[in-house]
Amino acid sequence: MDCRKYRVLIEVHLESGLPKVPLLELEHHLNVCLCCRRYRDELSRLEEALQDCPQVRAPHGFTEALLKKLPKNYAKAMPRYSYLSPRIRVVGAVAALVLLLGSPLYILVESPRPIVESSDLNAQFTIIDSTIIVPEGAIISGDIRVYHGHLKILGTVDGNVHLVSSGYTLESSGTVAGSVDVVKSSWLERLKFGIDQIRQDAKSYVRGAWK
Amino acid sequence: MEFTARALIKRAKQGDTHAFAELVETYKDKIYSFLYRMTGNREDAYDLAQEVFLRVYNNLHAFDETMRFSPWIYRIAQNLAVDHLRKRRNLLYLDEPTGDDGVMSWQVESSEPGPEAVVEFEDFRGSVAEALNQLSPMYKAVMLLRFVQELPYEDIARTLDLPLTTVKTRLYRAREALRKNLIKQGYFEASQGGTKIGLS
Ligand SMILES: [Zn+2]
Repeated sequence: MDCRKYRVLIEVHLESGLPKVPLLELEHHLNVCLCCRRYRDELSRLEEALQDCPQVRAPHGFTEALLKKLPKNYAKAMPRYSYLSPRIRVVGAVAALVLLLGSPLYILVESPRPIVESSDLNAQFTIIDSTIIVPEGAIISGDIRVYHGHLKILGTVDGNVHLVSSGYTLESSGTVAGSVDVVKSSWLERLKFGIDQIRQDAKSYVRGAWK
Repeated sequence: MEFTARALIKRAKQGDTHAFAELVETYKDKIYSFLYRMTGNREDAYDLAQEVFLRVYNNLHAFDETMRFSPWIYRIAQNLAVDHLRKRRNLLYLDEPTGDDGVMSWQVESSEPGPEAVVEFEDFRGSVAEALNQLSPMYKAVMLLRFVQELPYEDIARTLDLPLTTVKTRLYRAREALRKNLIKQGYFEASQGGTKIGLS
């Protein structure tokens, strides 16, 4: 019996499937030839084992580490959030002011990072990349303001939502008691926002200093 | 996946800061996994994977959006891996000739089997993984792309810049080498393979 022909058929079949006629012929041969049957079983076991080779996951922080190595301002693609102490914020604001005055283009050209603010001081958000999530079951009692990000609402916002250059998704579990307004920020507004931020920070710093 | 990749690249090319990060997030596990299996070493896989994405970033402008992304990125990964292994090999066996025709002649130093390899070593799958690890880089790459990364033949050919028939020949030879290894380990019984390669 010429088994070589059938070995080839077995390989082709495992690789890409055989048309009906040669497949029937192969099956007929496999019924009577133990060696070829074994060959087929071994090859399929091998392929199965190869396909089972588990994917290994990249270590945690892989993307962040990479973004830091990129030229330009790609590091900013990973969000940082503005829940810092007022003192740090005011230092940041002063630095921003210096930069702003020194090179007005800086704040306009920079791609801004996402920021979330809420009048609810106990508000908790889950943040993944540029997406800010109001988690399911959470209640934000106050307004939310998002700049340059995406707000995903799974919980309850007992207030208004202001989106500045941001998008939002209202999931089926989510509710917004107030209104949602979307503002596309222009250069001018971005600049205004920067100044507002500085003014606010300065105010809270003064207040803090008096306490 | 491909559709998403192309959309992300388009945005990344226009300077969208988040799109590139998202592209990395989408592909990092695949690329890291591939490089880990190629090098058998986590640190090397990490460094090489970072390098792959840096190159992707630096060459975004050169990517043709009508092409598929997978072959492009795997090609960068494959070239870096082979290069890296060659360097490491020269470091280890300076006086050995560098012929890479023999499928089994070339071994990644086996002092560093991956954690998985250690755990699974006893069973069949572990032995297959170990046998795979012992293939020369060009055979290993073709097997990984086919079975672990599950690329279609056409994408493998494009990744390795080889004709389709050569890809199939290499797959066949790599599989035969694995089979022989498994025969030696007592998993399979010695028997003749087909002669398809002799014919093509
Ligand atoms: Zn037979």
